[in-house]
Order: sequence, then structure tokens, then C-alpha cells
Amino acid sequence: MSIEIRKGESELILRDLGLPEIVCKRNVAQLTFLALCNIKPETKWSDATKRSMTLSNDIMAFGEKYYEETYASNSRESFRKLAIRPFLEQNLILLNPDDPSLKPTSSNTHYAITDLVLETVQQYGTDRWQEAISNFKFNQFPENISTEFKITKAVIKNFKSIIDNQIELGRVNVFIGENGCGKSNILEAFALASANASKDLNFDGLYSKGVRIARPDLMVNSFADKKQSSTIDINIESTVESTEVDLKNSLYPVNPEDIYTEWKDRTEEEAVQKIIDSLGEEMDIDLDNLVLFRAIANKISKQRQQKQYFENTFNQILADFSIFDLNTRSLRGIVPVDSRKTPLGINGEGLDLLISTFNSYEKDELLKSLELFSWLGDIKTDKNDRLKLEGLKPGRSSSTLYFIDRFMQKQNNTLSAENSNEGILHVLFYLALFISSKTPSFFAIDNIETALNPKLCQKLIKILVVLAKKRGKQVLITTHNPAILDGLNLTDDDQRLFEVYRTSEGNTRTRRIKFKSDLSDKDFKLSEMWMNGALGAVPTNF
Amino acid sequence: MQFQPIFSKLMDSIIGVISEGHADRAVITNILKGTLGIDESNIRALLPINKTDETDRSREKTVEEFGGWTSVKNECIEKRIISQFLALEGQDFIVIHLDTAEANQYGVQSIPAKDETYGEKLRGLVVDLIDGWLGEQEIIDATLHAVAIEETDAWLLTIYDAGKNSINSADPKKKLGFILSKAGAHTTSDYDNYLKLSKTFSKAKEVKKYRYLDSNCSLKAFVEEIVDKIKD
Repeated sequence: MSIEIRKGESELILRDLGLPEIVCKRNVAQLTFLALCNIKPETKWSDATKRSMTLSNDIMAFGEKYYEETYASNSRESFRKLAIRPFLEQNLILLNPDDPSLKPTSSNTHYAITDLVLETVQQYGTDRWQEAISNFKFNQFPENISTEFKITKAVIKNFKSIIDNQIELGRVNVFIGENGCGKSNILEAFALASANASKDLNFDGLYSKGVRIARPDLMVNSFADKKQSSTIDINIESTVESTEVDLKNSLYPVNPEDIYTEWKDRTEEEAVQKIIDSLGEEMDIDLDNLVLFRAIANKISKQRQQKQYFENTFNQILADFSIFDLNTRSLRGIVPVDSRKTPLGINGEGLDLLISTFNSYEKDELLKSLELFSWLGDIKTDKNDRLKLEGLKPGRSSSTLYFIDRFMQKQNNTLSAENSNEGILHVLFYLALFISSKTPSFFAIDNIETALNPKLCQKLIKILVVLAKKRGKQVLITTHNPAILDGLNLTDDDQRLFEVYRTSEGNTRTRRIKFKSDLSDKDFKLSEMWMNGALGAVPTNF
Repeated sequence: MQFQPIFSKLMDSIIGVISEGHADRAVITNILKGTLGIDESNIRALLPINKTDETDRSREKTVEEFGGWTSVKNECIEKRIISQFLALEGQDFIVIHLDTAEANQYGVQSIPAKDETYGEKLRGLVVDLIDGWLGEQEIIDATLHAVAIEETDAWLLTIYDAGKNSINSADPKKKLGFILSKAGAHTTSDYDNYLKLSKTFSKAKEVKKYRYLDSNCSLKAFVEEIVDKIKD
């Protein structure tokens, strides 16, 4: 096997592992990688091994010995800059694995490829290579692995038009109903529980999560024939890593007449009171039973700590919840950022910044999903706004996002977010929201169909279901477009469709729409069923 | 007030209604509410008219093609919306409504003589006709036949012209209109007004107390069929 072929393979592998083109093309990067994988010109990739190597004595010496390279004494800096640093950034290699306490300037500083890189390169040249690469990209960054959780059930009482409603959720939940039936109120109930979890139960906190704030006596439901309750009660049941976690909220306004009031949680206050009461009783301990008491106390404490972990994890997931309701001007970066939410604002702000921080796995997932736009060649983020100076955007927009149109001339094919079509901005936002490890794990999207072609709606939902499962996201979606329903597979329990309706008393309720088990005769689409009235969720008095 | 179905299985059930018009559905809605103790939200309008758009409608010469008995008959034969509705969990029954005023136009060969069995016989003929259109036993078993002798207005006459047998009224709509106008009530034939006019039917106790069912055998037969079929 020739030296040139091996170096060429090294370049290809580095590219597949997600390193920038400029790094892969460098001789020093190719050789460093060959050395760290212990691939001599005659070694097969399946026989790659890992060992810790210093830069001068091992890596550079390996190049000289096996690949006929000669290096000037000042080449070390090139190796560091063009190979070691990008390898470390991309988690291809570990720094000082044998002695993490070494100082960066130590002459014993050494490097080794990770086990994941070793397992991956051993598959090079086999028919399992693509699978190995996908596996590598997913596991390359620890943040790609999400916490396993699911909100299973919610009971909402006394909130806006909801007197009492119970919902059993799947992973992707789509809500349909007439205008004014209370779909958004359901999403807002979760936002209220979320604001409580993030200790943000005030006007700003609720507003930034997408709640339409009204006077407190309108937030707590107000029905003609019913006595108004003093609290909004939201109970949420979930599982976190197979452990059940329940969260109760009993919220009341501090000042019922002030729209800007802070809200408080009665459940929390009652829990604190219980601990105070029980501590009071525990002070009166019979000393003869002290050993036994200590053992019991230890046991309770351990269980609490364990439970605490799951509760905290769920609390954080819930705290990140927001209702996304996109508007095109925010997506284009024209409207100043109004939302405090990061990384993505509830109206579509911050998309360019989020995409610029995508790791190679996230970028790959994004580009794969964007194949539905046949004209799209690539997406670029221009951190330094250099393209603005080249006149590629009029300047009203703060977005640094650009699209490459593959049908246009190479020197003239870059469109700014301000100039691109609105459909791709909306789709891109949803994809980024589902793919990123930095976005909330549990969130809602109000009116997902805005700006989208019906066929695109169908395809988008199908893609989002796959991404939700892959990336561990749970989502509540409202829509008025029947095409969205055609992207759902209701035989999959993870995908659920709900009709939201109001009873004759005006109470908002939800009802899961589910097929009977025998579907052998099914020859109709959910979109058609909805338009024909078979699913409900349409006005029927005209 | 919280509704309380007479059969607990109805709590999460939905009954579909295919009617000639919105006002007919309003009357049927109140009858179902009163008979079964269900909420209005457990009753779903199935609208064959939704299968068409304004372009279709503008191409047709008569509105009749899409409304009235024609659309009910066409749907019974085609069964598209009916099958879609029955394919979902908790959706096991449909009401099919027809007035008999135009029975000879939609296929009843000979209208029975107006004797004391007129109502029962005519209802029987229309029920057979509907079942013939439906064709499939499974769907027939799921069907509640809201066949109103002459018009559903005759069912309302049991309330507004109490004590008189409304089967024999030749033009119940006209009669009801006259009675309502005299009382200063609205006569508009739409969903909201007919829902108000027929509200008494949603109160089981009142229906029993004032023996409304005894004044119209087609109304009584419909209510009995509802109870018989659903309790199984």
C-alpha cells in the first residue's frame, strides 16, 4: 500500500468524522491521525490501535519513520495548530489520558485517540462504515445524549376556560379544535407550571414563556354559574429514567386585582408547613430508640436524595418549557429581540446564533432533514457579518444566517435570512428546535402550519416525529391545517391527536382521537376525516 | 351543571348525526341529551356538504343536490363519512335523519293511507329504505333512525301544541310558525333557534311528565330505538 493512498484515506476519514475541509487537507493533520491510530503504510484500518503519544518524540517521529517526512524544528507549532487543536475540539483525541494532572507546558504532554474513534476507524472500508460514522457523531459530544423522560399525564383545573381537564400525553401531541375552543389555554397551563418550576411566576416570567396574561380574575376561570376558585391547580405526572415523578401546583395571585401581580404556589407553602410540623414532633424523641430512629432517618434521607435527583431533573425540564409562536420578521432578524428566552426566542429570535454553535452531529442531522428543499445547497452563518459588507443583505436584519441556492451561479448564490423565503425559515427553526441539545426538552408550538405549503406540513411533521424520538424531545403542537394530520401515524402510541372542544357549559376539554383496532378497511386520510367532520374540531353551525 | 349519562359507557362516546339541515340536528341534539343524559359535546355533526366546495356548488343548478334529503341519501349509499366516523374509538352510533314530507321523491313507492297506523307504517318504509341504502348490517346496527313524519317541526308541536297528536298535521312547519309567531317567539329555522325551541327535549323529567312522546309515534319510535340499541 502506498504512502499517498494511506494519507488520502486519512483525509477522507477525517472529513467523514466531521473535521473542517481546511484541516483534512493538511499533511500534518493526516499524518498525526495516522500516527495516533498506529496505521503504517502496510497496516489495515481494522488493525488500528490506540496508544498515548507525545508530539515530537512519537507523532512527528512516526511520520519521519514510516511516511518519509522530514520536519524542521519549528514544525511543532504547525502540528499543534493544524492537527492537535482541532482534534481536541472535535473530541477525537484526549489530552494527557495517562496523567491528567500534567501541566500544559510539560514535555510529557501526550495525546491518544478516544475509544470511540478507535472503534469507528476499525470499520473503515467495510459496509458498516456509514453506520459507524453516524454512531460516532452521535456519541462524539456528551451533550447529544438526552435525559430519558416523558410527561405522561396532566390534570388542569380552574385555568381560563378549563374547569377540569385530564390529558394523557404521548411524545408528539397535536391539538385541533375550533377557534376559541381553548387549545392555547392548554399550552399556557404548562407554561404556568413551568414558570413555577423556574421560580419565575411573575408578569415577565409568564410573558417570556408565551402566556397571554390577563387580569388574575380572568386567569382563574370565571364561569357564569360557577363559584370562582381561589387557585389554579396543575398536576403533572412524568417518568424520569423510568422513575415516576409527580409535580403539583396550586397557584394563586398575590394581588388578584393587579395584572402585573406575582403568583405563589400553595402546594409549596403547605409542604413547608408539613416539614415544620413534623420536625416539631420529631424533637420529642425517645432516647431509648435513638439508634432505630437514626437508621430510619438515614433510610428516608437516602430515598429523598435519590428522589430529589429525578425531581430536580424533571423540574429543570419543565422550567425550560416555552410556547413557540413564530413570526417571520423575528426569524429574519428584523424585529429586535423581544424574548428573554435563549437560545431560541419564542417568536423565532436567535436561530442564526444557535445554528452557528451546532456540533457536527447536529449539523449533519439538520442538512439531512433539509433535503426537502431541493434548491438548498448549504446553510452558512456569518459570525463577523462580513457578507453584509459585501452587500448581501440590506442591513435592517441582525441575522447572520445565509442560504446557498444550488441552482444559482457560484459567485452569486448566497441569500440572507432577510431575502430568503419564509417557509425555509420556519422549517429551519423547527428543525433546530428539535435537533439542538441546547433547546428545551419539552415545549409547545402554537399554529405550526404558519407559512407552510400543505405538502410540506405533512412531511415536516413526519420528520419532527423522528427527530423527537431521536433527540428525546416531547412536544405539544396546535394546528388549523388538516395536512399536518396526514404526517401523523396514529397507530404509534408516541404520536397522539387530540380534539379540543368546549362542553355546553363552556368548559374546555380534550379527547384523544384514536382508531379502532381493525384498520383493514381504512382508505381515508385524517385530513379528509377532519374536513368531513368525522373528527370533530370544526364549527358545525354553518 | 355536570351531565350524567344514563349508561356510563357514554361518558366518552360520541354520537354522529347526519341530518337534512342544521335545525333538524338541533332538535335531535336535545332529544339525545334528554334520552341519554349526554352533553352537547358528545354529539357530532357529520356534514355531507363538506365533501364539496363552493366551485362544485356553483356548478350545480339546485342547492338541493347538496342539502336536504339528497345529501343524506347520497351519503347513506356512499358511506364515506359514516365509515370515517365509525373507524374511531368511542364513535359507535350514528343518527340518520329524514323527514317524510318528500318520501315519494326519495323512493317510497306508495305512501300509506292516513289512518291510525299511518305514522308507524310510513316510518317503517323509510327505515327500510335507509337500511337498503346503507346495505351493510354492521352499519345498520349502528344506526339510529330519526325519521320524522312530515317534518321535525311535528316533533316540536308536541311541546307547543301539547296534547294533540302531531302526526296528523299536514303542514307542521306552517303550524309551528303560526303558534310561535302568536307567542312572539322567533321562527328562524337555524341551529341556534331550534336548539332553544327544542330545549325541553333535553330534560328527561319534563319529557316524561308532559308525555310528549305519546303525541308523535315517530318521535317515540326514535327515542325507543336510541335506548334499545345503546343499552346493548
